[in-house]
Amino acid sequence: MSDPRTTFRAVVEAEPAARRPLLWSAAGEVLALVALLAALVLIARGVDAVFVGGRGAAQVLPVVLAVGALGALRALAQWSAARTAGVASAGIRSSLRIRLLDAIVRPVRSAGTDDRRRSGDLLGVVGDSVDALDDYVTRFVPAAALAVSGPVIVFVVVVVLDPWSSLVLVFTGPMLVLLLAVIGRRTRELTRVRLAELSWLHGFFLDLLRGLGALSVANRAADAGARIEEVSRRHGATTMEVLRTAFQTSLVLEWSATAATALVAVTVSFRMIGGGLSFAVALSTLVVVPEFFGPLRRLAVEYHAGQSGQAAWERIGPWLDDGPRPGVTDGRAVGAEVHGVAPLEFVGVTVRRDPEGAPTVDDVTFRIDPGETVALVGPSGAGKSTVVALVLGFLAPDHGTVRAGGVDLGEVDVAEWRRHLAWVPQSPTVFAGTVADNVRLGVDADDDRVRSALHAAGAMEFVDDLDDGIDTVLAEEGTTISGGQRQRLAIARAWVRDAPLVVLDEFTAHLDLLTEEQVLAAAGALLDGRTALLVAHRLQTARLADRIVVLDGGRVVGDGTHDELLSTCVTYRSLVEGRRDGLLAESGGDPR
Amino acid sequence: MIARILRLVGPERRWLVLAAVLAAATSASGVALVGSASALISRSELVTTTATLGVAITFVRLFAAVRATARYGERYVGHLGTFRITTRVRTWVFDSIAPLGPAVLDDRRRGDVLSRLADDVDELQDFYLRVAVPPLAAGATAALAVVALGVLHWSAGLLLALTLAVVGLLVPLLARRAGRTAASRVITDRAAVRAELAEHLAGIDELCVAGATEDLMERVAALDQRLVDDQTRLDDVRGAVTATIGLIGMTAAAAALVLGASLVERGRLDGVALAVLPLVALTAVEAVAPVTLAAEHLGRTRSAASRVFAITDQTPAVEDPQRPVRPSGGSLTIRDLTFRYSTTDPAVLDGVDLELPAGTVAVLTGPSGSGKSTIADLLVRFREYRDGSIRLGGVELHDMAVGVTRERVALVAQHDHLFDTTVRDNLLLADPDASDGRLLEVLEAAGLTELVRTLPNGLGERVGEDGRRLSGGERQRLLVARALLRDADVLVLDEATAHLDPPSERELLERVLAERAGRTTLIITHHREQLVPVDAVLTLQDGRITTAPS
Repeated sequence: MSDPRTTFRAVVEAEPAARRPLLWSAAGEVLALVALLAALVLIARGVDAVFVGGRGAAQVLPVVLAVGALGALRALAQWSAARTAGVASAGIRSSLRIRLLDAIVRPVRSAGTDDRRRSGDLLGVVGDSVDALDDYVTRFVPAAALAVSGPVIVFVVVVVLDPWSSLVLVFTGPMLVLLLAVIGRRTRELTRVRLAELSWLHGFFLDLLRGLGALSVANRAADAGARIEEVSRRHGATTMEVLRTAFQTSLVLEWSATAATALVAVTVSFRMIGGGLSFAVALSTLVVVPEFFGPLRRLAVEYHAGQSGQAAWERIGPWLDDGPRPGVTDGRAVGAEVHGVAPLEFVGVTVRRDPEGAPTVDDVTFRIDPGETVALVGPSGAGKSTVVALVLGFLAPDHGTVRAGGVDLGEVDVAEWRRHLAWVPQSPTVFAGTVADNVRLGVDADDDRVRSALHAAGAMEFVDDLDDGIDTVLAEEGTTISGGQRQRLAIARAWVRDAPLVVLDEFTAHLDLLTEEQVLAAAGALLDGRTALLVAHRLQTARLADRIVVLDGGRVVGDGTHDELLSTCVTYRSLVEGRRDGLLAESGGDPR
Repeated sequence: MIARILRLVGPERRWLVLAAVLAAATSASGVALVGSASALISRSELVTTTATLGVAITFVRLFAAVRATARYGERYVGHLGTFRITTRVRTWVFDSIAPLGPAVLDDRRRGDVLSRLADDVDELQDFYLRVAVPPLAAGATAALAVVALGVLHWSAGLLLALTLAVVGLLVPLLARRAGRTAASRVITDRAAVRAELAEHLAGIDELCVAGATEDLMERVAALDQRLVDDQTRLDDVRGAVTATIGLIGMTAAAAALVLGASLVERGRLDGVALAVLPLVALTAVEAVAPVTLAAEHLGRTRSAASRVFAITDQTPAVEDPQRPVRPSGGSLTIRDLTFRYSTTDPAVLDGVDLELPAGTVAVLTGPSGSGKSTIADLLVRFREYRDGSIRLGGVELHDMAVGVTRERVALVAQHDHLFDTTVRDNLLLADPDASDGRLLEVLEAAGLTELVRTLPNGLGERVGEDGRRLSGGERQRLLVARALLRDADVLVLDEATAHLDPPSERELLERVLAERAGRTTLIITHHREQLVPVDAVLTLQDGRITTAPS
């Protein structure tokens, strides 16, 4: 868990335009406190005027009106503080959301970040985590700001009113801060433990819900309820053990606050009897002293908002500082021209996705000449998808270079580079919109061009069968079309782009044999005359290629034609013969 | 609805009551501390010796001690109560859903439904401490404060009662009304942003390569702006509520001061008590303020609760017969079986006939969506059939207890689940009494001996969330091993070997069939090549079985 102060600074400074509203919000909080203190002192004076001075109700009316006015001022300040904090939060969240999208969308991601890119996680970060910062900015930040300034203000007021009583605060205040610091560090750890525990229990419950089918089939669904109870009780017991100490913070805080009030009340009354203190001062001091602890108490209440904001930032932060990105210098794209896509050369490329593990891709060198189609094969985990990510500009090498047409990809603006690419992924996404929209994704193409692309991809047949042809609206997640149709749509997408470099990524993995043949035929036509890299897990796919590069354990272990490799490459032979889970076989189900 | 949520906690209600009592003690002693301290100082003005202050000083100390201790107790009991209540609510939800079977949760986006349900249950348990307790504590404190001032003079009590009624009842009501539109719009806006992101983030890599991300950015920015606008409106309401309550508190204190002054002037109130009036009024208003937050929270728990109840209130898909019959033997006969998911849907199965004598091995194939998995669901009684007949060992499934059917038929479902626990515990689900030796036997039959031998903790190795720490193939082998442990009359494998490459698939099926020699096995698969010798190959197409046994 990172330092809360770092988080605080990072969130507050996430959006420069939010700084002013945040300052206004803090000023509003301070003003509200000052108005409250003034009103309290006035009330004490009013009581004094009647009780000691023997004045009537009419004579204290001005005081009462002043109290009312201060009340209105305080309300205004509170309202403005809440409002400006809301404005700041809105600005911070909007800006973060866009910056996050930009970080995800635009440049190359660095190594070690791969797992974060799953769409569920992305959604969690851009959606939920950013929203979770709202409470942090609107509740925790003002509370924290007031916790720093509030006690000082109250202390000054008490010193002015009655220096002797301020001694009580001099002793309890630092003691309190010290104790809070000591206990706070422990509480932070305990809170973390508790949150982990809660999320574990939540996960356990969800796991059982997800496995309801498995439980039912095994006739064990009835026992599972009892198991939830047993496991929760066991975890609850340990956690309560932990919490008992954690709550000591609140005990210390409450005890100090009430003890200080009581102590001030008693000492002040003794001094009054001794004749050293007027009633007005005594009562004023009494009513002001508890406010010394008010801001701290409020911070304790908002502690939860602080914690969840902290957790949210820990998910957001890493996205925003990925360190140096290739193709980007000081946040701006660098602009070497793209001089053609081929020859595409990997020269001694090493990528270490897991910083502590073995390299995913280890000193890989190979090239694709202009117009050539090269297939990449290898057992799962050999590094094929890493090579593809490097070509697509999602990843940059830790060592070595990837060059296209003699230019280092690290010096080219990644968006510019991608204009020269078409990519048919393993499971293409169908976006909500018409067939035509899906085909012309990112390209300005008229309907005729869309049709001819669909035709070339062998997709026109099924598109014609749809109700509105190319204007048919495809549902979210593309549920209305089959896997094979989806692949052909993706191939049509590649046709429309008319890009010189085509990347095909295990694109027949989920298809049955008949569909696979159709898709392969469509792909074959696309590759004609272009430079292409295709990741193959089946022999049929590999045979589309002029040359095959074999990867194993992140290294290139073979490079040549099918026949050459059969005689020279052990890995390739074992893949073809189905002795390894490399999935390069004549046919197959749905290999991973 | 609220009564129902409250009933849900049953005996754990005592924790709520205790938490409420402690919360009331905390805020009431806070008010009393202010009152007694100001009375103490006032009295000090009149007396000349500290001896006469003994009682007042004792009260000040007492309330201070009670407040600190009660606050600690409140937090402790509150959390303990939450744990107990959480456990109870989760157990109740699961026990309500269990008899319904997985079919009730079946939905295109089942994963979402389940995580939503788990989140809703969390929200529901928030109800108790955040919605139920604050009004109770506020009510108790308000009553005490009103009585205390009323004892001094009835008019002071009346003034405070009216003020607290405004703060505790009227303000929450108005705040809810003012914030309701904004609050529900914030929820819709947030859902819209999420939906936009969800759709596009799934294909974000493709959008990047296609250079089509500008659109996405613009649309998210526009939706986000709307969200931010509505949220600002909601923040406005919240800020206004805080400000209003503060203003009311201060006005009440001012009014109490005037009232007190005139009472003292007319000799109706002892001057010593004057300070108590405004200060207690101010503190009591602060003590009642949390009711507004509780009211705001109520809306959220309500909709969460209604979603939870909507699921738990469903009727079970299948029910046990009055007089259950036990089957004998493992033959399986389906006659003229027709099934549709709802009365308006087209028939998925439209007159299916199938005959598997005991001990037969058959392959059921057909294009995806042809209803193969529906047959599997019907066989293990996840869904009820009305037209046609399914007989196991000569007995209609309708006439058997559901539990008995599931003892006789084992299934490896297409998206079967592994629990986030050890290899051993996942297997024991099928037979809690199985020895480790027996577990190793079925693992051997599923071709996992080598894996378990190399795992650092062997059978005690954790498999991760839904078996993610295993490879796709190992995961499926473990699911098959679990089903083999059942030793059932009929085993249905629904795409259970789909993640293996053909040689491994063949090897696994051979092992399974060897283990199950002489018992009925139905292999459901979408691909047509025959990997192992079987007694019959059946093709399901257009709701019917089109291939006769070979």
